[in-house]
Amino acid sequence: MNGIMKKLVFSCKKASELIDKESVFPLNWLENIQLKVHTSLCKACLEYEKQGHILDELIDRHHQHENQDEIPQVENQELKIKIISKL
Amino acid sequence: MTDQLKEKPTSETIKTWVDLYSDSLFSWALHKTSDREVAEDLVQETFLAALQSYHRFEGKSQPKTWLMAILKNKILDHYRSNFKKPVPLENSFLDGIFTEDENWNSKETPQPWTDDAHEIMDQDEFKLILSNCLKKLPLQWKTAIQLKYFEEKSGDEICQELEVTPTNFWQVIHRSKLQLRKCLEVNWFNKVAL
Ligand SMILES: [Zn+2]
Repeated sequence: MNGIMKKLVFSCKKASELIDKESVFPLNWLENIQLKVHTSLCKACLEYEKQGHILDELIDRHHQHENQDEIPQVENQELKIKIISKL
Repeated sequence: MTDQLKEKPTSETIKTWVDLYSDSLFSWALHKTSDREVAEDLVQETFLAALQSYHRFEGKSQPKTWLMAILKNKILDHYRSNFKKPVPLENSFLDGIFTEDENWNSKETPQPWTDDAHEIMDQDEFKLILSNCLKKLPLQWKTAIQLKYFEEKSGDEICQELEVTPTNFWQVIHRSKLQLRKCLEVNWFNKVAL
């Protein structure tokens, strides 16, 4: 990215921060505009934004997969004995 | 029910509860923490706390519900203290991602991922790689990811529970995602190219 653009829209580091911030908190209007301008000019950050959404989906589905029905019931007889001995 | 409970010595009642409910509590704690040892400790602490504050249990709720409430608080305390643990310095891989003038380092510039996310999610090999990438996160970062994705809570709720500022929280999420992205890229998306 050239110098003038950087002054107008800020750095890729900052853009990537806003991209991940947006996945947890809403951005304010200024941040929103800055990010939109940046990603309209910067392919790398646009890609980072896309991959952020993919990552969200992958982690979500990963956990759902582990949690398909109910929480798996695990027996732990040793723990039972250990706790009873401490009471 | 209440009268019956009061006739028995407290520790006997709690022992009965251990027998009845410890497996359910353990399963829950294990699911939340993905760590057997931690889950065992949390369940043990739950029963010890129940013994100490038994006078506050008035039989108004089911024993299991009451124990679960104690356990949930213990798990939250666990997340809170994990989140406050400093990240070891050797985890400074982030330094190389951006140049000094804050552009992407040429080697780190995000390249398009060609795989379809819906397809790879069903592949066992990919699931294993994602699991391993999640495990490799420093404790603080992993905690942030667990809270955001596993608990399905809003950012504001999480910050309130952890007693941290929004900035603190999203910065940790940011670092976690940079690392996860890189880990997946190295081990999956760009593997052929390497
Ligand atoms: Zn950029």
